[in-house]
Amino acid sequence: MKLNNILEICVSGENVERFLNLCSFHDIKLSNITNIDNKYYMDLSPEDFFKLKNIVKKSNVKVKIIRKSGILFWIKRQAKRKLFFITPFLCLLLLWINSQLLWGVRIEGNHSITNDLIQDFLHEQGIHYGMPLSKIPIYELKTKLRTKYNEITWVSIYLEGTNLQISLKERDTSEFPTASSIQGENLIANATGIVESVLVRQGTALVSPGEVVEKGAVLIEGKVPIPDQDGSIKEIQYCKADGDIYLVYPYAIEEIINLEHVEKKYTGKTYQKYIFTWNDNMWEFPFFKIPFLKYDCVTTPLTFQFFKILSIPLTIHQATYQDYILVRQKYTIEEAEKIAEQKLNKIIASLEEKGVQIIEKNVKIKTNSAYLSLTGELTLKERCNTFALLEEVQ
Amino acid sequence: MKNRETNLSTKIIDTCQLPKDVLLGASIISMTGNTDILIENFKNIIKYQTDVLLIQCKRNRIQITGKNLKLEQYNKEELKVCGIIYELKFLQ
Repeated sequence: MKLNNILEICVSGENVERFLNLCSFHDIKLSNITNIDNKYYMDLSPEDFFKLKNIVKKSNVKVKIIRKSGILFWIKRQAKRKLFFITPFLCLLLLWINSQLLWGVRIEGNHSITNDLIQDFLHEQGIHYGMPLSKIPIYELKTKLRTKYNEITWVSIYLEGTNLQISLKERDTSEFPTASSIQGENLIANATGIVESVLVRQGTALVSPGEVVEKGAVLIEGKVPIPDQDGSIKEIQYCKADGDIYLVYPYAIEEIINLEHVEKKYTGKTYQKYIFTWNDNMWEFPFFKIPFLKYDCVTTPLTFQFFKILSIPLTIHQATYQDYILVRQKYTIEEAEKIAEQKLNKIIASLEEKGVQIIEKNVKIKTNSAYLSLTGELTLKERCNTFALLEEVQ
Repeated sequence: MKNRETNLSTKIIDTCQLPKDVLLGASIISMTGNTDILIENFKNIIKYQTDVLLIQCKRNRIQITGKNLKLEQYNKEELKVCGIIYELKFLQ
């Protein structure tokens, strides 16, 4: 469909050249003039066509319209189709209806209360996707949410477009007494090892430096006996044990790397699918089976949003399936050593991330024709930070 | 007599370096390969067929012979001819 309106006409007769010259003289722009079997075909605008009347008379030719193209003629043709005019209004109506419904929930400021918990709460209150925005009892929701979760100190619920925005602030739980501090909480050993140092801030120490303790043994008890004047115990105060107790213990390492191994070799063949999800429903397109025996799948989410305000819970994932075959390979000793070193560094990094100090490292690498083994022992120093309720330990 | 006048005016225009197309009404012909011709300063079309096109200009006639000749643009100002052009001839 062309945007500019063009009429294709066929001119026949004795004096077509005269017709052409008269058109030129009257400033009628002609284009694409062709002569086929003494019939002249040409394009001109509909406005110019209405100026042809006198020219046709003068030059004594016959003019016939062959084809009409352009947006004006297209609209005239479509005018017969009622749906053509109804559809834009229908679209606008659908858009308006959609904008009156809830299509998203945004939660921010929550830490201990997870998004799932809030979603469950909303579900209990009858809030679901697709419900009319006018039927959401915002004030009631605020009150009920604060009543259900004591940790919430401030909550704001409002509608932003078709989204329900929930912003909240939670109380810092460490400032308030919890069930554990009333009952008493013990500090226990993380692992079996030797106690290196003891520093108690709250509670009663049950171990001394140099003592060997088992994993789970109580190091600091979460109760403090208050003696009476006569030396007897007047009362026992329960508290959360607090202190620094460092344990030194060995950590065995054993990693075996087989020199012969199976590796993925990608054939370069790929297959693409689109995965559509609407809430919990999922559809794949195209529907055909994946034509590979073994494959890796990489999915890239394409978030589908008409507008930022009108967000719809429809997501499209582009899944790319990469075909591969398994091939037997053999590492060289150098390669295997490098892998072993990487594994050891990974273990050390993960231990250090937990706040564990490595005092001593004694690791050996042995190789033979079939495998490479990494064996040894690390000596670790760790601050105990595991707690257990007084009753649980007893 | 007419030739003398023409020669004189041509001499004056050459001396003053004035545009010939404006003062003498000479046609301007631009050709792209053997497929396109753009003609300006012409009077009208005398004959148009797929293999021949005869154009009347102010001072002479231009005859274009070729194959599948098509007038892509035709208005007062310019005439654009497309097709396979074999020959371009000036007739007195």
